[in-house]
Amino acid sequence: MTDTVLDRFLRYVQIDTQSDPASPAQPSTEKQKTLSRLLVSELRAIGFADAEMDSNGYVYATVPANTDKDVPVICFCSHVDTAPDFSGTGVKPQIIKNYAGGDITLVGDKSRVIRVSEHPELNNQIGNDLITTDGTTLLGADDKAGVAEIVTAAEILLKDKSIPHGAIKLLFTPDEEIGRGVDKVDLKKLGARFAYTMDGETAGTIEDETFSADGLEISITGVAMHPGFAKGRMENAIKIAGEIIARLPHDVSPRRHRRPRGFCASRRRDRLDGKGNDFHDRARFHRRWPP
Amino acid sequence: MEKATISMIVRDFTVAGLHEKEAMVDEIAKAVIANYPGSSYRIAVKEQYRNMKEVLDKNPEIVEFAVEAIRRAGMEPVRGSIRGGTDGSRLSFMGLPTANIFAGGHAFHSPLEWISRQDMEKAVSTIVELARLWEERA
Repeated sequence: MTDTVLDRFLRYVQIDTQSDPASPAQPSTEKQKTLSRLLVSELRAIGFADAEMDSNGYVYATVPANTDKDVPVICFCSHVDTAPDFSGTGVKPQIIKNYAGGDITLVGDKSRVIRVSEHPELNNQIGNDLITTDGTTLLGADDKAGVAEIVTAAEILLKDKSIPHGAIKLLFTPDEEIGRGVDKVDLKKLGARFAYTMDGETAGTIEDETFSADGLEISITGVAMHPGFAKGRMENAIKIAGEIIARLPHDVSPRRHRRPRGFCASRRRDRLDGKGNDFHDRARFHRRWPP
Repeated sequence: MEKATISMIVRDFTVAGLHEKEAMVDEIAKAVIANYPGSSYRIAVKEQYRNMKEVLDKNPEIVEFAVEAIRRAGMEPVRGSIRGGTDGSRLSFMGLPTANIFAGGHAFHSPLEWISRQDMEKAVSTIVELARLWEERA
């Protein structure tokens, strides 16, 4: 019997694939390859003869064309890693069949409640089967849902001869959550003209627009002075930095606008200099946006 | 405490908007530093990523077909924008124009994350319809 998208999803989320921004390794964590290897063996078993994982941890496979037409090669891509923000170890997916509406209290940590007021999209899910965590880990639907969907669709495209299609490439990447997802992708080997990532949220959405972003670094040089002689002469660089940050207008900071206006967000890095107290403070004002 | 650095991220949907915000930050720094005659500042700008729409608009069929596939899979398509970078945006600028389609999950990166079986099945149908559409329109 063929696996459903749900079967696959439940299997994949139970494999810990958290990525690590502090690791210089490729991929950042070895455990991501556990899922990548499983994908290769599943894809081979389905009949994708060329499925393979390369030395950087990327999985490539092809659904061969079944038409004579000259169709542009398209690719479907998703990432195997989960975010470093929350534990992905020991995920115990919970299935709520035929969801009747209302808030959902998670069984492993009753303090965690998925509230309809905070997740209004739940109102569109009445009668559906929901999958949640037990409250102690993240779920990893980002992006193992995408992985499960692509593998399931690829199997349909391979086996159902009634659906004509060109060559379709499958790509599963590591380390998307730490911004290194495509660093080592081999586009030549992939050989696709256009691609779709399956990594969005609400059903029905298609996204073709992102922010443009620049990094800005302001270096301030003040005037250092022994405290005994400092009166009227010392100019504390950190105090100056604080004044600059305080003057950034609040109405262009990320919390004010959902879209489509831009914003500035500061991330602080102070360096205290002198008398041997030299340290970095990497606290960030806005750790992550969107959250 | 002679030196300090502030690292910032500036984001906007347009490059003109980025430059506007960068100029604003520079004005603010200049105004503050004016009160400290012995001090100075420098601003360095480093490009992080660019709106992938610039690339995708050159191949409008990518999004058109996705919209049609979503409709054929039984949903009302919703065009959206992503606040932040995405692999699709990097791939687009590396020469592989890439749009992002829903996977169905919600409350990403948190223990409250959830998804429904039905929405995953809709994503599967969308992929199948999309493959069919590219062939149909070729």
